[in-house]
Amino acid sequence: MTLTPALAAESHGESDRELVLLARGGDRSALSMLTVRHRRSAYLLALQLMGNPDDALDATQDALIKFCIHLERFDAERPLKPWLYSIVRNRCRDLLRRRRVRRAEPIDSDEDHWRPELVDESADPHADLERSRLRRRVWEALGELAPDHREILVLRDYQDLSYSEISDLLGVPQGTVMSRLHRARKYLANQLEPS
Amino acid sequence: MTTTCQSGFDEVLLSGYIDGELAQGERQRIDVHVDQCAHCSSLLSSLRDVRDIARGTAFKVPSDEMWRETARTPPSRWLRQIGWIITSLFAVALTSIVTYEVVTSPEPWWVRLTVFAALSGVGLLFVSVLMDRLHDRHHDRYRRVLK
Repeated sequence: MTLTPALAAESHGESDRELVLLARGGDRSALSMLTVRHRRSAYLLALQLMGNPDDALDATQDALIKFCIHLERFDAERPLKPWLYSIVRNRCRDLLRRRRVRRAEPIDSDEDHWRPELVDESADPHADLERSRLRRRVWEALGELAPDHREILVLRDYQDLSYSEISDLLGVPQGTVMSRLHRARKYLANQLEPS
Repeated sequence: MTTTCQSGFDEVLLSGYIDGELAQGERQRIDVHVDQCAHCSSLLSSLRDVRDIARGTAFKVPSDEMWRETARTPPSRWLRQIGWIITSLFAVALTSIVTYEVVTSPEPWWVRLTVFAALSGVGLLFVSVLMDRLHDRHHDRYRRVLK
């Protein structure tokens, strides 16, 4: 097998920056490696924002295409993931908006569309039954949140981004990140309480 | 759970506290308050539960095979757009020819009308799909914008 610069970069665990520079130089395998490396996290973000695997896959594909087309604009000295996440997030918001306009649904009505797509990884189904139920309940309640609150909770609790990263990504102050996150968590906590 | 802390404490800080996003002085202030306030202590525990449950959630992801099947690269998208343009031109030409033939055909009027209605139905369905696609493209706010 011929070791292309991209394969060499990948085999040496090179950074995104290395692959971005190779891709900009016309190395298609570097571009392919970048998309393969990041498509899983992009898909998960789309799934967590949209709540539906089919829409998430569409949004991810669209976002990755934009990512490839506009890679020239990207500052290779900056981390790649926030930029990709901003593309995915914008695409998801756009698709959600279109879907609501088409169906003339209220802005917060997602119930029919929000489908759990979780994995139960427990080796002991009895021991983790309650935990699994709670995860599903939190996931379902996430679909009931307003989009602004949902995306912050997803970025923090599902994607593990810091307040600073979320603030940069969404263009809101860190105080706003904290207050929206708090309201979202409090709503979910109330949903978990026994009725 | 009551809705707010009765002492007027800003409970929004509790989320910053469990995320480790507060300065040391604020953390110490919250430690002291939570020791004294049952509401905030309970809320802090509930918020931690929500965070831990969310973090422990695993999701199904598409297999490599599924990614390959649904792969849409820029060339494939361009080819699809060219295909749409050619198909649209063909549809316009075909519509013109069929209309001319129906109008000038020696067949009885009801035969011509039936053929025309059937073809019009197919044509309208095609146009409606085409219009949806053009509308989507036109209203894609992010077609040039990434951030």
